[in-house]
Amino acid sequence: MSVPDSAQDFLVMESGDLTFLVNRNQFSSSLYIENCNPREKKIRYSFDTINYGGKTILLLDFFSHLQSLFNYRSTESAHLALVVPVSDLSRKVSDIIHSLKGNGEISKEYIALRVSSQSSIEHIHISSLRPLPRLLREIGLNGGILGLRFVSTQHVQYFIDLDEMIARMLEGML
Amino acid sequence: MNNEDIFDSLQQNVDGDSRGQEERPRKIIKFLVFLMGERRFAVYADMIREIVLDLPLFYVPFVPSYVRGFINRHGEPYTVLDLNVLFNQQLLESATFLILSDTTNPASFLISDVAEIMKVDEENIHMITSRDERQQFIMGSITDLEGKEILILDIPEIFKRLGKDVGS
Repeated sequence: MSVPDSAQDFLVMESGDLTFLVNRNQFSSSLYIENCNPREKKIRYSFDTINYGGKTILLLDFFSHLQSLFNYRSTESAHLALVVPVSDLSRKVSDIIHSLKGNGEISKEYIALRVSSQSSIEHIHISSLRPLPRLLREIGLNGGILGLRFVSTQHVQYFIDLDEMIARMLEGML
Repeated sequence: MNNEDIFDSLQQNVDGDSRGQEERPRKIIKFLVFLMGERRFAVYADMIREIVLDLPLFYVPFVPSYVRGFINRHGEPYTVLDLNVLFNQQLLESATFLILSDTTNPASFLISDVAEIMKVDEENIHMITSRDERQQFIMGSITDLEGKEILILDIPEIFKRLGKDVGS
């Protein structure tokens, strides 16, 4: 489905020197994290919960995950959470999420991802995106990197797939 | 084939050979010699499209350590391979890139500097026929005016290794 001049909404997340693009269709809403309920620390990810629509949902620290994965440090704040319906995720991810929840009080409907507060929605032309170089394409796709966008000679935006990224993140937690 | 035919054939072969020796021009091959640290390596010059300096290198996770990421060349991403990691297990600190001419696999090598362009008589290229592990990415050698050996990189072999490592 490649329409050269079609444009779509993306979440543009600034983090450190890097920028990440997420298809707007991959999350249902976003919210400001005022309070989260510290729950459990596993490996390098916080494993907290937040309240969303009267329910308690899992909050994954995607902000730290990206820093760890792309080997950079960000001093920016991360008070934004993307809310993702679990039903929209792949079976693999959905199964992992269900297996994580041993406690009945946590909703199975949604999960939330903590991301950089420096995020905004932008309408981006698909034709401005590029796949990774052929040699790196497959390994990138398997890790959740769908492509990139050069905005200048000095700056690149990574187009990432939330589903695959969440899968990797959760697998790292288990 | 009777004896007459065989003799004609022999004669043709001999005449053909001698004609070939007389007429065959000396073939000169152009190499680009570059530095990786203090070591010199050669590549066939026609496999190199250009040399670029001071481009930012963008990181990619999940890849082997000799893949340093990619660069932006005219809006297209080019894979950057650090051969110093392959040969010496050490990252090369540099921002000089040899862009390869194969556009189906846009890629470049990170190098320290370009040393020279050498024109070498084909007869003075010493190809190696069997390789051990250490020579895995070397296809032969040439010698400079001082008689010092310069190893020729086997670029297809390097990409074969990369393909194997990244599963593509």
